[in-house]
Amino acid sequence: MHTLEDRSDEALVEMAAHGEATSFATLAARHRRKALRIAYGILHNRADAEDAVQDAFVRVYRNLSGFRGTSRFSSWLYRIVVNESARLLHSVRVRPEEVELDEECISDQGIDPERVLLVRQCLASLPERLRVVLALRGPEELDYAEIAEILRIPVGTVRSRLHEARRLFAERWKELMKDED
Amino acid sequence: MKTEDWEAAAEKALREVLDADAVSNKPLEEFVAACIAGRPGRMSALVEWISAPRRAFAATVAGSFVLTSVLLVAIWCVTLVGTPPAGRHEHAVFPMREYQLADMTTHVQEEGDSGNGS
Repeated sequence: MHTLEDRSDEALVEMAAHGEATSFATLAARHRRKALRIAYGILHNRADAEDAVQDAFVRVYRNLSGFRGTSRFSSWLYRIVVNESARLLHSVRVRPEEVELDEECISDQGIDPERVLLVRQCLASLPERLRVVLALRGPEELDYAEIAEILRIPVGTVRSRLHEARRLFAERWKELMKDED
Repeated sequence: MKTEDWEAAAEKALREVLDADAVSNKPLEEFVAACIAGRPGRMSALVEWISAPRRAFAATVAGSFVLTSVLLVAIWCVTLVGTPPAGRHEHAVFPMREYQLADMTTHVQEEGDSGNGS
């Protein structure tokens, strides 16, 4: 017998749309981490990223019955995450540079808090359109076609934006490292 | 270091930070319950502002003050509409008095004339 974990996203969406909360919980467990990384890449702080992801999942839950399956569920979800992150980014109240580090939590993960701040600065220095592509590509490496589908731009544009984002990120990183020395 | 080395170092740093900092403190059950209940991640500015304890008290006091002021203004307006303005009152009386005076003068003159003539 198939467990919920074995089922496809689309099957879980259908079950969740019929009121099965455990199916929705399985979807959340499967995609929350990646969604959080995307939102973090755009908003460059954890608290705002968590808010954006929760808002995105609230929207997903409300619109489950409207999901037509013409695109992958993950693409649909990540598009909503990108939109919610952008909405939060443009709201007056978000000031990522003023968000303090949860140093205790970061130290538990075995990383220097100073390094976290430098990465945040590098992300913040990128233009939004480049940051979004970098966030989507992320360590999980969504393929170019899926990023293109999420952002509704050509694959070639994804490729060039990603190249530009990596170059600018590395340049900024280099500057900050030299300042540190 | 070469450009490629800097790019690799930057990417490594980004990966490390995402692994360490882009993690949620909220348990999955709590997260799912909030989503199903439709609770947004961030409350509206007004709700968030008011939810601070001291501000809640300040907001209650300010709200009561505004409500009382509105009520008093409303009562004052109703009273004002109910009473005729002073000017309108005088206008209503003055022509009458003028008429009466004129009438009385005529009477006096008529009486005087008839007295002289007789």
